[in-house]
Amino acid sequence: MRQTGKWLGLGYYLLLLLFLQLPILLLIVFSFNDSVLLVFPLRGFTLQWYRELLQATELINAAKNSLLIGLVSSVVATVLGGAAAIAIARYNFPGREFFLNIATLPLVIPYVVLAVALLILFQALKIELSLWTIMIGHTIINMPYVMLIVAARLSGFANNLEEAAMDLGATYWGTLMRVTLPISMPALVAAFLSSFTMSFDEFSLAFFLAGTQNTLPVYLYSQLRFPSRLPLAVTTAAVVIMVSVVILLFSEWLRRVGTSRTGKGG
Amino acid sequence: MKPLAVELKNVSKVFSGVGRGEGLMHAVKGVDLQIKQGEFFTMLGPSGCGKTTTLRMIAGFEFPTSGDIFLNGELSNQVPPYKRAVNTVFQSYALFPHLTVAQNVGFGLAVKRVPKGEREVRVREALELVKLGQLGERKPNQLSGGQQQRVALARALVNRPAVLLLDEPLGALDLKLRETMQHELKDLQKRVGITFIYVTHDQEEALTMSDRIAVMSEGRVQQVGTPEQIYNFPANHFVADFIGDTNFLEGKVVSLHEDRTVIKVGREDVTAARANFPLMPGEKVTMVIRPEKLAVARELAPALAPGAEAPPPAAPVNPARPQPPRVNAVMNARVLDSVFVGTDTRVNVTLKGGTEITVLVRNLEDDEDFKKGDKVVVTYDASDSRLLPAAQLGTTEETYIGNGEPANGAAPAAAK
Ligand SMILES: Nc1ncnc2c1ncn2[C@@H]1O[C@H](COP(=O)(O)OP(=O)(O)O)[C@@H](O)[C@H]1O
Ligand SMILES: [Mg+2]
Repeated sequence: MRQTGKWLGLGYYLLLLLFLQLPILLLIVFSFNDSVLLVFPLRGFTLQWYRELLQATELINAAKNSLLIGLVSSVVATVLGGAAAIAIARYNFPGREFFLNIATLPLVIPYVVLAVALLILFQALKIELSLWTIMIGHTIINMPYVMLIVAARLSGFANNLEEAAMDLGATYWGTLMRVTLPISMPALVAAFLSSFTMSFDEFSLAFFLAGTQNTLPVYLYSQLRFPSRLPLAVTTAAVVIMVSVVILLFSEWLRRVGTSRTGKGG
Repeated sequence: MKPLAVELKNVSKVFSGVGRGEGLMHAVKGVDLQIKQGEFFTMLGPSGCGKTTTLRMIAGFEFPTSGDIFLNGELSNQVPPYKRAVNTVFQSYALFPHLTVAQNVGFGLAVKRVPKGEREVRVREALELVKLGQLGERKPNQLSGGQQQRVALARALVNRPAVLLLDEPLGALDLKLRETMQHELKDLQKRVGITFIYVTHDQEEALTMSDRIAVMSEGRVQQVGTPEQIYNFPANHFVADFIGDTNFLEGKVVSLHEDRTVIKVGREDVTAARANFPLMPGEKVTMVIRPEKLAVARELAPALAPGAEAPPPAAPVNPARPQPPRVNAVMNARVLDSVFVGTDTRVNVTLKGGTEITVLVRNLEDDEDFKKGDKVVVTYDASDSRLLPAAQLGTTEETYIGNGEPANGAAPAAAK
C-alpha cells in the first residue's frame, strides 16, 4: 500500500516536471533545428540561427536595452530595498509595520494594473516615456522582493549583534559597515541577481512604459507576426533561458552558502 | 578615595506602547545601587523583575526615564554605548557570525584602531585567559555553547573595561558546565580585578559567586547585601521566600523581652528573636526561620521545659545527634510526614493551630523514624529566627504580591 503511494507520488512528480520543463526543453532543441517551421520531425542540427542572432542589430539593441534596464533597476532596487529591509529588521521606529505593508504592496498588484497606473502617472506628470520610465517601473516591482529576501536573512541573526558592536565601541555607521552589511551581503547579492532576472524577463511594464526603444521581451513579441523570424525569436529565448538559469542557480547557491554560515547566535 | 564604579540614583524606566496602544510598562522603579570598584556584584530576581533593563541602562542601550546613572563618578545618563568604558557579555553571546573567533575578540580593538601588532598580542592573551588559545581561526558556529560563552567573555575583557556586565551568561549551558563556569568566572574576576555586574535568576549561582547581591522584584531592589546577609537576614518576606527554603510563621506579639520576642502562632507560644523595628504587644508579625536551623526530637531535655527562664544550653536527648550549637527555644508539634532527600530528611510538622513548618534533619545512621501523627518537639536558637512586619505595605506588599502588571520574563523583542 505504502509502496504504491510512493510510486504514484514519484510518477506525479515526474509528470509535473515534464509538463513544466518540456516547453523550455523544446525551445532549446528547436533553436538548433535546421528548419523555419517549429514542427517534428527535427530536420538536423544547425548553428545558423545563432549566427543570424549575432547579426540582428535590432534584436541586439533590444537586448542591450534590457540589460541596461535590468542593471540599473536592480542596483537601485537593491540599494533602496536593502536599506529598507535593514531598517525594518534591525531598528525599531514608529510606523514600522505600516511602512512594511505599504512597501510590499506591489507584490499583490498585477503588473498590468501597475503598468497602466504608472502610465497615467507619467502622463499626468508630463514625463516622456523612455528606458527610464521602464527602469522606474522595474525598480518598483523589484524593491519588495529585495526587502523580503534581505529581511528574511537578517531575521535569522540574533538581533543584538548590532548592540554588541556598539558595546565594543562601534558607532552607528561603524556597526552598519562592520556588522549589518557584511551579514546581509549574500542576501543582497541574491536579491540583486533575482531582481535582474525579473527585470530582464518582464513584459507588461516594459510594454506599457516603453518610449521609442523596446526591451527584449517586447521586441520578441513584436516579431511573432513574421513567421520567418520565428526561429530567431526561439533562439533568443533559448539564450535568455540559459543565462537566466545560470544566474538563478548562482544566486540560489549564494543564498545557501550564506545561510549555512549564519550560525544563529542564541 | 576612588569613586564608585557604578552608581544608580533613583533610576526608573518606563516603556511606552507595550502591545498595541496599550499603556506603560514600569520595568524599573526607583532603583538605587552603589557598586564599588573591583566588586562582583549580582542582581538577582525572578524573570521579568527588571534585571536586564537595569543592566541595559548601565550599558547604554536604554536611557533611564528618570534618575541618574554615574559611571566612575561621572553622570552618564545619555552617553551612547560606544562611549562607555563598559562591556557586555550577552546571554545569547551575540558573536559575529561572519568573523572568526580571533576577529570577534579583536573587534573592539579594531574599532578603536589599535595597531595590528598590539591587537594580535592582546587577542591571543584574551583567548588564553579563557582557555581558547587554539581556536582563534574557527567560526563561532563551529564552537560548543561553552566555548562560545568564553569567546564572548574574551571579546569583552580584551577591551579592559572598567565594568563588565554579564546578563545570565551561563543560562544556556547545562548544569555541569554551568557549575564549572561559575568557578572559572569568579576566579577570572579575582585575577583581572574588573568590576563585574552579574545578572541571574539563579539564587545558588548568586550566593556562590557574589561579593554582594541586590535582590530585585517587580522593578524594585528589595535588599542589597553580602550573600550571608541576604541568606541569614532577609529584609522582607520576598527575600526570605526567594532565597532558599524558609518557614513562615504568622502570629501576634505576646511579650517583648530584652533578647527575644514571644509571639502566638495559632495556639502555641513561640519564641523569636528581637525585632529590629518597633513592635507593640498584640501586633501582627511574621517569624521566619530556615528549616536547617530547626531540630526535631521526641522529647525535651528537662532544662528546656516550658517555663524555664533563660534556659542553659540543652543536653541533647540523643547524644549521637549533633544539635544546633545553641538551643533556647522550643515548639510542640505533630509529624505530618517525613521525606528522604539524600543527605537530609525533610520532616514536615504542624503546630497546634495548624501552622505547618519544615525541619531539615541531617541523616545519620541511628536516625529515628518519624511517622505521621508522632508527637515531637522542635528546638532551635531564637536568634536564628527573624521577625518581619506581617504586611509591609507601601513597599514590599505591593511589590511581591504584584500590582496587576504582567511579569512575563522575555522582553518583547523587536518583532521580525
Ligand atoms: N523594550 C521593552 N519594551 C517593553 N517592555 C519591556 C521592554 N524590555 C523589557 N520590558 C518589560 O520590562 C519588564 C522587565 O524586563 P527585564 O528587564 O527583561 O526583566 P528580567 O531581565 O529581570 O527578566 C518585563 O515585564 C518586560 O516585559
Ligand atoms: Mg533578563
